Amino acid sequence: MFVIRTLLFAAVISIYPTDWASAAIKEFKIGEDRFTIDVPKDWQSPLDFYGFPVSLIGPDTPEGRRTVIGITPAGASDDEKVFDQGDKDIKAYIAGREAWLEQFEGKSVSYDPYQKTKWEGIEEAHTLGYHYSLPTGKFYERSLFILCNGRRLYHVKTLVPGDQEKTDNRIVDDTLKTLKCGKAVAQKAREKKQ
Amino acid sequence: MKPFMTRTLAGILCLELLLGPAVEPARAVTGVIGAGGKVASRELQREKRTAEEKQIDTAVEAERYVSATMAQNRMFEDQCMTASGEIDSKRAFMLSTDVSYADMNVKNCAQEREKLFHMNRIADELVSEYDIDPEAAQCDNCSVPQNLEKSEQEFIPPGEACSYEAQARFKKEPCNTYCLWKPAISAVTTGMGPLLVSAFTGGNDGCPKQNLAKSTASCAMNMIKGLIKGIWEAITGLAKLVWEGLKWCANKVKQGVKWLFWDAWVKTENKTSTNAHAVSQANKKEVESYEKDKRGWLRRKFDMIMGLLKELVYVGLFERESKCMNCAQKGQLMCEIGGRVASDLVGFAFTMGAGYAAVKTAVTKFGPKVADLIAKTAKVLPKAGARGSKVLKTVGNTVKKPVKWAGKAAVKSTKAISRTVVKGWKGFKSTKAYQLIMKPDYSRALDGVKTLATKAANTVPGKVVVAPVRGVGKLFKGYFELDNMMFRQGAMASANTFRTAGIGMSKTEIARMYLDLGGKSKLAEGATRVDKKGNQVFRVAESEIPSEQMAQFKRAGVRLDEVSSEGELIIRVPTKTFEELKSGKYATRTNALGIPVGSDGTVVIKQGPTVVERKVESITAQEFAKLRDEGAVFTTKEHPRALVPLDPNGLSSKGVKVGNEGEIVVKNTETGTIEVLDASQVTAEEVALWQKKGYPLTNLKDPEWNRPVSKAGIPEGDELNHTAAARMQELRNSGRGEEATKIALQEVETLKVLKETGDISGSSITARNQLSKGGRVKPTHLEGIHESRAVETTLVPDQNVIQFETRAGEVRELPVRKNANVVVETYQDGKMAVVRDLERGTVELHDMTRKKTKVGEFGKADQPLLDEAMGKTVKGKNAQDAALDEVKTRLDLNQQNQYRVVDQNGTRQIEIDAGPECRPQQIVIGSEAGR
Repeated sequence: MFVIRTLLFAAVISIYPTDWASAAIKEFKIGEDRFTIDVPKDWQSPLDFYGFPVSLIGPDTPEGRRTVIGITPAGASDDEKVFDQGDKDIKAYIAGREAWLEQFEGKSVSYDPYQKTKWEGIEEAHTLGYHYSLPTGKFYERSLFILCNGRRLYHVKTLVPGDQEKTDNRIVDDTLKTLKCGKAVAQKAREKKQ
Repeated sequence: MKPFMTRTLAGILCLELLLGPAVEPARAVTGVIGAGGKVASRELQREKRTAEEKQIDTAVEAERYVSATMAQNRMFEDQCMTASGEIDSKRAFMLSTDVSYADMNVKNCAQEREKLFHMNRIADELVSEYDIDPEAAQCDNCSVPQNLEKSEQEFIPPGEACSYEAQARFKKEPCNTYCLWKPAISAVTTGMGPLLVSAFTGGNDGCPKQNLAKSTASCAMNMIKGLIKGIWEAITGLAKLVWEGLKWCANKVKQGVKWLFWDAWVKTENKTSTNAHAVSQANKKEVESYEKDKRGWLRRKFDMIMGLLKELVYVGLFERESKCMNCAQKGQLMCEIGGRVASDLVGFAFTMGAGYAAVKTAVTKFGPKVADLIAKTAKVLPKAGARGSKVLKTVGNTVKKPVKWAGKAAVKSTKAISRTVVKGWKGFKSTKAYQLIMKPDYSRALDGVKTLATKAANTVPGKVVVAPVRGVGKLFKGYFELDNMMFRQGAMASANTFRTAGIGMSKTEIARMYLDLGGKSKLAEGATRVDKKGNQVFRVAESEIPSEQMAQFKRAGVRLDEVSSEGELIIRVPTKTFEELKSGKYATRTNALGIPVGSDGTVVIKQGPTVVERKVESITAQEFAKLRDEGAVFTTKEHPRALVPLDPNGLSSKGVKVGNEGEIVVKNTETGTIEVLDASQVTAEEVALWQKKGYPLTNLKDPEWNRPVSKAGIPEGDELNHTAAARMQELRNSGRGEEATKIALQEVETLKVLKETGDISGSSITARNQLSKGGRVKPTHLEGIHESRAVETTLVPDQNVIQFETRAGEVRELPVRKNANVVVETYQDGKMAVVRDLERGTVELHDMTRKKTKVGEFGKADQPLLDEAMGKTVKGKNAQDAALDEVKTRLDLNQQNQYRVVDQNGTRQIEIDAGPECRPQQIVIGSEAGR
């Protein structure tokens, strides 16, 4: 356990035992906040994999690319309302993505408009996303910044390979809507389970 | 060191390129100096050898010898192997490269086999000597063998690639390249936490001190540090980056610059994208293994990235330059390159993986970064070709190889032969033909035959000289006397006959024909076989007959009057004419007859795959390098006029074949990747087979690529129809009506293929965001679809014009705003140009045939009109009318009978008369919905 924490900064990210929980519900804690999320059937949900404190990974595919949902702390609060100038945010987002793509001979296909949404358990979610192609294939990637407990921002990255968009976009959307945070979520999850 | 650790790390670190001799430079130099006396001694010894022995003292000669030996083996296979795969010793063999009639040497297959036996042995020795291929076995063992006698140790100085014979005596040692890298790994991992330290170091590894090369290890430090730290940071640094980034961001936010959030976040966003891609590529098994054994998982990540580095350096950048470097030098160069790119390579590998596409992209990305180093190396290499010269002074140490004796040939090792030749040779060694040629019974039988062995050793490529045949033992004497004489007689007689007749049949073919027919009398019998009307009958494929020969046939009264059900052309040659041909009355070049003649006297050449394969073989052999260098094009049978761009990278290592259906299948032997240029023609069985073999199938075209075509042969689809129809009309108007369909089809196919391959997103040149910088911009798109030729656009800084070259090669200017951010698109062979001002949102349409005359200037409100002009739908009646006029203008439909306007359920269309063989083509103008 010591080794794991050393490698992946798990001193900050501690994992709650979930032996009580349904196999479909994953409960975890990042920093000060607790989360639950429903893990779709046949998906894997390793901890601290490639630096994501929590990641959900779709089933194996013949093409070798799997759908990914990765959650990391954004390490900042939204006290200053960093997203209140959406149009400028998206310009900076696009500039950053274009630069990243350029490294890999990639090309953007289209950008989603900035969206601000919320759902039960998540009081605010700011979403940007885009479709792009790399020499290795086409992808749809989104970045969500979710507000937890009224102030702390968490980052959710979703990546769907192009050939799985038809099926997995919906699964990702449905799964994200099960993401909940807050001190009471664990208790609620237990109640739901019972 | 624990055994599993030893194995794993050996696997990780025993990089192909680094499997060189782990020798300290000082020792290497000492070895050279120390070996000097021995060298001199051996030189003296060599001089004492008989003059007949051939010294092969450069890698170039060795390579030529091995290549020529392989070629000769192939000829042997062609001429001496039966259909059942056995050697027919009685058959005649002739090198088709024989230089002249006077020098003609003919042998039977037994003789040739005997010669090949010795040539193969020498070639094998040469490959062993000159192969510094990282995959070669000796790289594991090229340290000083500990179990050799002292004299032998001196004989083979440290740092030498081991000879084939010496290897057999070497004690097997663990791959010592781990030892080579261990100091670097230890240094780098210290302080990175116990997991990493335990993953990469620790334990009793048993590395002998003499295997540690200080300078190489020092060089390796850069690479190892970059890679391990890169992996470490990529995997663990995510959260850290997040916090650092946002901390900075939060400060800015407090200063009121809130929108800078993304500027601060971009680094973390990049990281999460990269890592998400890495996660995406992990299969279920890898995730499980990660959860069970993080240490092992880390090592495998390292392995994967090192593998990509190896591919990048060797396949992409280094192969051509590395021919003349030994293991140590290669390793040195590799770690220098690795040190330069390591920091970038980890993120790259995580995002792109380590497959073929990744390697290709990596070459593009990292090539320039190490180009100077490669160039510097290449500059030095020619010097290394000289005997005893210093090698790679910029990156390595001088390691001079002394003379060694291998079999009958004195071999002086200085450099390596090419990897391709080595691989080719190793591949050939695994064939049945090789096994048969080298069968022990032959080696025993021929042990005493010194003459031919000497001759074999004396044989150099391109000038194969074999002494008059002698009896070489009772076993073969009969064959030699019988078949050789028969063969010679037949070949000479036939050659004389045909030569007199002016028939340029090759000697091999004549001789073969003679033998197949059983001798001169039967040859004559076959040659005079006639049909009922007394005509000589040949059946050949028409495509095989050169046009000039057809003319000769015609003059000689040869009739070409029948085609068989198999598509063969029946040629009837009047007997008298045949005699006349033989007597030289007609100097007819009859390559078509230079094919083995059947016992009935007919010549049969079947069309179909054979012909196609020959053509492709011809392309491959003669034009492939040129095509590759030019980044040129390829065609397929299905789309013979389509221009399919081929990526020039790595083509030299690809095998190309034509499938039964005419598809082009390109196999990259380095990566095992199969690339199919027209996948719709590949059978499911083939795909299944490739998958079974583990080939990653890339670039398989969507079957949609082969969409149905209209009766006129024009692929269906609005855009393509539009293009084809427009182009046909244009051609018809310009008086090229007869060619219109063909040309238009060609162009449509080209467009389609170009679009499918992603090399063109439209018929436009794009030069944007560059005006303020100036300079010449090579567009990524092609100008128009009508001629696949890229043009350059000159951007004039601080001036109000943009210059570009039209299809006709004329330089034109268009007025633009000073330092504007514009996109210029050309259409209709450059007749029309559209300038889009990206900042103002305005669009200008220019008629380039009127030079600078501006046809119209449009604002945002007019965008639909322009969109329509470019084939998109517009709304509104006025816009439709305008668009109709515009389309008519574009298509130059100035004669009423060439088109008609149809209003069909609110959709107005132009129907164009595309010629009698075509159905009318329709272009949709708009719909009622917009009114």
